[in-house]
Amino acid sequence: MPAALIWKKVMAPQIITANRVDNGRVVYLSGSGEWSESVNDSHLIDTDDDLEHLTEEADRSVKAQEVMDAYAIDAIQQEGRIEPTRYRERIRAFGPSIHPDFAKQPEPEHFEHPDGVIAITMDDA
Amino acid sequence: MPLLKQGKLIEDPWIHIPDEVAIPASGPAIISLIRWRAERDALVEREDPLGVRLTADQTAGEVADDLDHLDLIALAFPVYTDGRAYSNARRLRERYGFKGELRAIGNVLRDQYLFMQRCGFDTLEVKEGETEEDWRHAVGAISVAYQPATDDSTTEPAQSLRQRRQAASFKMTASG
Amino acid sequence: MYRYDEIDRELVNERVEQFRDQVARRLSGELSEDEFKPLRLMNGLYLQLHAYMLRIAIPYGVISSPQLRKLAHIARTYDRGYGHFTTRQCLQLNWPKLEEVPDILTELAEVDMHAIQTSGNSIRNTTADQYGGAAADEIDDSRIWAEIIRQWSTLHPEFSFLPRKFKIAVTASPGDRAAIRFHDIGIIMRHGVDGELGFEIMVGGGQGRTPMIAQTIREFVPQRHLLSYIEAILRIYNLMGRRDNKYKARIKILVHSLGVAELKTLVEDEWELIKDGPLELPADEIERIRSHFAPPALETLPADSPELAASRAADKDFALWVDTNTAAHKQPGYAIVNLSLKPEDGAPGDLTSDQMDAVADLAETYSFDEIRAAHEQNLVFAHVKQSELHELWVELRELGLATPNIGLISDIIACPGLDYCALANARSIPVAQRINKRFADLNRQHDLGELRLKISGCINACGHHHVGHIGILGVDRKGEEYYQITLGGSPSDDAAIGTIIGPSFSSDAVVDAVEIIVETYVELRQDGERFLDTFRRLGLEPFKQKLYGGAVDAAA
Repeated sequence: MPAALIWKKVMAPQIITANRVDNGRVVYLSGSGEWSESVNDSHLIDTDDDLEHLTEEADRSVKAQEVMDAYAIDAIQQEGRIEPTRYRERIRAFGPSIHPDFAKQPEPEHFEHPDGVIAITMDDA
Repeated sequence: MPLLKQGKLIEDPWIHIPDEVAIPASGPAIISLIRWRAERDALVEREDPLGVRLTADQTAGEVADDLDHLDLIALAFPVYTDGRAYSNARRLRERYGFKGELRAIGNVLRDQYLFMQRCGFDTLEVKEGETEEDWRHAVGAISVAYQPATDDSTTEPAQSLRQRRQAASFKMTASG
Repeated sequence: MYRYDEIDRELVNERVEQFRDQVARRLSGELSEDEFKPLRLMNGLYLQLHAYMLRIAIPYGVISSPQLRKLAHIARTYDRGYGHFTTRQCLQLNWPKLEEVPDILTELAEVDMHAIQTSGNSIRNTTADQYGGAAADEIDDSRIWAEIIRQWSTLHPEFSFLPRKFKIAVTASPGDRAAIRFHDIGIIMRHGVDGELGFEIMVGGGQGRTPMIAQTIREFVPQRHLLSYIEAILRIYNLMGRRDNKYKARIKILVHSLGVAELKTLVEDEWELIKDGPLELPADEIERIRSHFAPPALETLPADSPELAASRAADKDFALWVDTNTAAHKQPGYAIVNLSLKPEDGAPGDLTSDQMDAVADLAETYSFDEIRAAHEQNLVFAHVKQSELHELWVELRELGLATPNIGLISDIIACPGLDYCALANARSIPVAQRINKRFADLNRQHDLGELRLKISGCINACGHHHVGHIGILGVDRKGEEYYQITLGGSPSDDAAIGTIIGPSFSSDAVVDAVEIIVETYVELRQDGERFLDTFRRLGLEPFKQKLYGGAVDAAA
């Protein structure tokens, strides 16, 4: 049996991500409980109720062996789009930075980190 | 739990005795190594079969001198990824010449049956629901061995490998 | 190269079926991820940042043209049309689907290839000298012994659940090209007192969190005892290696805690008991394996090809490439050719399916259908006529595989890093690309000379940064990518672990930092010194001064 997933309380807006078992691809949990490869389809969680509801769905899905390694990540909504804030998760969402042709979805051009920190963007100087 | 002996599900004649429980006067019994050491003088007199259970960090050498008194040694796999028991099994068979029953206990999973057999285990305490067909399938999965182990340590492996190659090429010419 | 017979094929085919069954049990839910994970690792299947990753074994780096074509086909059909050559002579595919992996393995089995034990706590792909069989300076072909070890270690029933991964490498040249001193067991071929060939065995090398140089456990082991000696080492390690802490579970930690003398006693007590048993290698078995590595039908040619001399004189670019990318062959009139997989704007070690097909064709024409993968993530054609070098070079240039940079600063070893790897803290490939861009001027590169730069995206050191002349380690500082620089490492017989130079550099600053280090070397070098020589003569100080004496914005 998979180890019990530990979910923290919501401190900042979050989304839930995992990897599909059958093809290993990165997926995000939408409000309707479906997993999508598009990060923009994810449900932005900012209440504990939301977290509880969605993590139940995530746990069910892991137990059913549909996805594995489900966890919550920090995210924001910006200009109508949902994006992860940490660079590791941005790479996971938008594809390897050196292969924009593999991107599942293009990385939005303007990204302002909520903490005002200038985050590493995908195209390097 | 079910017991597989050379591929057959059998009634287990042995009982595992926890340290705090009295050892029955008769009947095959398996006790811990610690207990064996503590009560050895009395136990060598025991008429009925006696077995000793080693934890994963206890070694074959620790029972090497007592093999004449032991009919069974059980080696533990606390998690199936802990592979120390394979080395202890081989040492018991090949270095110390143990001829009694060598049993795998603990987290014993189907995908390791073949390795266990090759290292000299003859009984396996397995998960509920395991069948003889599962065992046959697992042990039959790979029929080629590149290296000697307990199951063919009496032959020269390079020798046997060569013989196998000769046999294989004979098979090929015969069939075609 | 070694040719499979029916027995080898049977093993690989059976293994495919076994894994197909395990995948089915996983997809049906019968096996949980916890139960399945060690099984998939034993078939080289990881879960990485974006998807599964499959690591295909290329035994000691040797691959035939048909095999390379099959890899091209697999990358095209099941993946995204490219593969990555690793620092352990394997090939990685980054996008396979679990449900398709059994089919990929079936296709690999058709050309006698597999992904067995390229991951997990087992004995991994045994690596060797990429110039084996051709090198002018070897005393034997290290690949013969790598093949013998490969067979012995494959599906070894006793050593499939070790405390941790186990890596073995073999060299037979004084200038070790296989980095054996950074392996769990490193094997150096040597002549014994009677002139017979045997092995010096070293143990406990490694990189990662705690880099260590291997130590000699036995000065000389005769050929026939190679396997029994290694088996004795593995048995002691299997029993005594730590299992409580995965960061302290390699044999190097055991060597460090016991001391090599104590380990030697334990190993040799075991060895005494088993050396005359079934693991003793009969001479005819050694001969049988050796016969697979007989040299190809090389012609008798003059030592210096007049065609080559003429082409060199006529074409400066060609001459430069010959000087940098070819190496001396033991047979007069031949050369060893390195194909550089480090073009200016590529990802180090990557090759597209189209390139793989083209390389396979070229190998057929120029090098007896055989290609080798080097641990530096380049490819090798081992037996090329000097008179044909120019033709070959023209073709390689078309394919972007003729950058004249072998051993130079732009011949960077880089792990996939955070662009692909779930373990990484920072990206490595973009840094490699930016460094290449900064040093794009070939004249400058050649003036700098031998300068081995290696980048790892995390402390696991798959990019071998510890043994770079300049090493770069990606770290995460408060959610940003930073890079720590080390100087003075070497993977070869002058083995050394690099020294950290100071605080790490931001992504923006790291390329400037590298340039300052390089310019400092240029300023201070004497008489044909390589970077490494200048560093060894002067130490860290002058470099530190230039870097941190206010010149660059480094993290405090």
